[in-house]
Amino acid sequence: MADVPNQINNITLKLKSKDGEIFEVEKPVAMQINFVKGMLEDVDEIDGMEIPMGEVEAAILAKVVEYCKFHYQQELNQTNADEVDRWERAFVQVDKSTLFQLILAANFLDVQSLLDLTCKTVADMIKGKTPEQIRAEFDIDNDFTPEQLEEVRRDNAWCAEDR
Amino acid sequence: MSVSAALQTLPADVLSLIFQRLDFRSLCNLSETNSVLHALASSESTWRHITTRRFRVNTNAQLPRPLALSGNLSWRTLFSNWHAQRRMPISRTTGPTFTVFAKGDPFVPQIQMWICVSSADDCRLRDGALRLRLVVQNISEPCILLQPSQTHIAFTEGGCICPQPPSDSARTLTIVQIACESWHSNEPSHRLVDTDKPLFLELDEFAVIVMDLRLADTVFEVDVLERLEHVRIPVITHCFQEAVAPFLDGVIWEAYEFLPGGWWVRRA
Repeated sequence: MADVPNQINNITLKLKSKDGEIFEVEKPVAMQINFVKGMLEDVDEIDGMEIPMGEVEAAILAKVVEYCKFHYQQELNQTNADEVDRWERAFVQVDKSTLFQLILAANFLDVQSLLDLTCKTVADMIKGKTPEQIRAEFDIDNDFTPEQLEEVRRDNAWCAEDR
Repeated sequence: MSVSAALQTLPADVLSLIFQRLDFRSLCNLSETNSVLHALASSESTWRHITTRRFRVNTNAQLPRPLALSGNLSWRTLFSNWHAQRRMPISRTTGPTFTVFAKGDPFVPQIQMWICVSSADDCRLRDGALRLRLVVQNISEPCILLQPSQTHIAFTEGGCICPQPPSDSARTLTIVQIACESWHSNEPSHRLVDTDKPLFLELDEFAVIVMDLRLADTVFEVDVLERLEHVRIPVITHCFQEAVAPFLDGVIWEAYEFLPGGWWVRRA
């Protein structure tokens, strides 16, 4: 009987990216992806099955798998919080396009902790910046007319008073 | 697939997850960048979220009021009203039902602070001490650092006192307890922290610093309160600052009533 859980854990799942790349991932690692977990509830036979990961492309799926692997290992080894923090910080040191795709993937695949991490990273980039600095940081176009902008500023005057 | 680095191209549900993590000033700045982001950054759900986190109102436990009573009040308007009133966040020992004897100064806009008194029925000092509750909340920074052991209380007659180093025997100030009130996963949480160590406060987190103040020859709470000028506490944000909360004129007489024969009672 003792071997049974091991056998289950040794099963690898084949996750297929939008562009057709297959990632072989141990089942307990893949089960952190709620999208995969939900899919497996509906099927009995998973051996050799390729699970399509929707719109998620290989480069991003690789990052998601890397994240899930680290968190699976971290729970097994009880990695200390500082180390996890350092790893996560390094993990999100990517260009904005990659970061945004990671957010979309975490949202679609329903990996809550990755979604939390990536949303927090973007929020931290917004904090403490002026409207002009935020526009520059995130490539945002100012589509307000001068009158509209004046009105928005008037609306916001209450929070600018004690800045 | 190439995703642009422009923030406004993210789907609305994802953007609202990001916006919920912002402080009110960042949210206002964001709303001035672009019309799409303005609409999302002004949304009721976002402002409801940050109002709940900042002021700790529990909207889940209560049935919504009939529309006729709440009128056209939006969460954003409510937030700005409460911010202007410097409303205290709610916990077991804090909130708008407690009388505030001192409020924080606008020179350190990253924090709010309040001073309350833990009052006895007969308004007498307990074991000769006035129990003060200093509440300090981080309202706009990802993280601030407080030094509770360097809290100073200044007197109207001059001079001031702080917990460390211990001062002369005629007046002493002791930190009894520090509770940290946090907000994680949409739930309030509570933990006690060391009274002698610096204290980190995340966005909208607040500390309740309970202190006992002993002055020689005092009997009633009012005897002590009327001699207090201000409280100040070192706060490190981007730089070192001291937040000051002056004791407010007249609040003592709104909170306490004098009885014939020299007794005191708290007003209802």
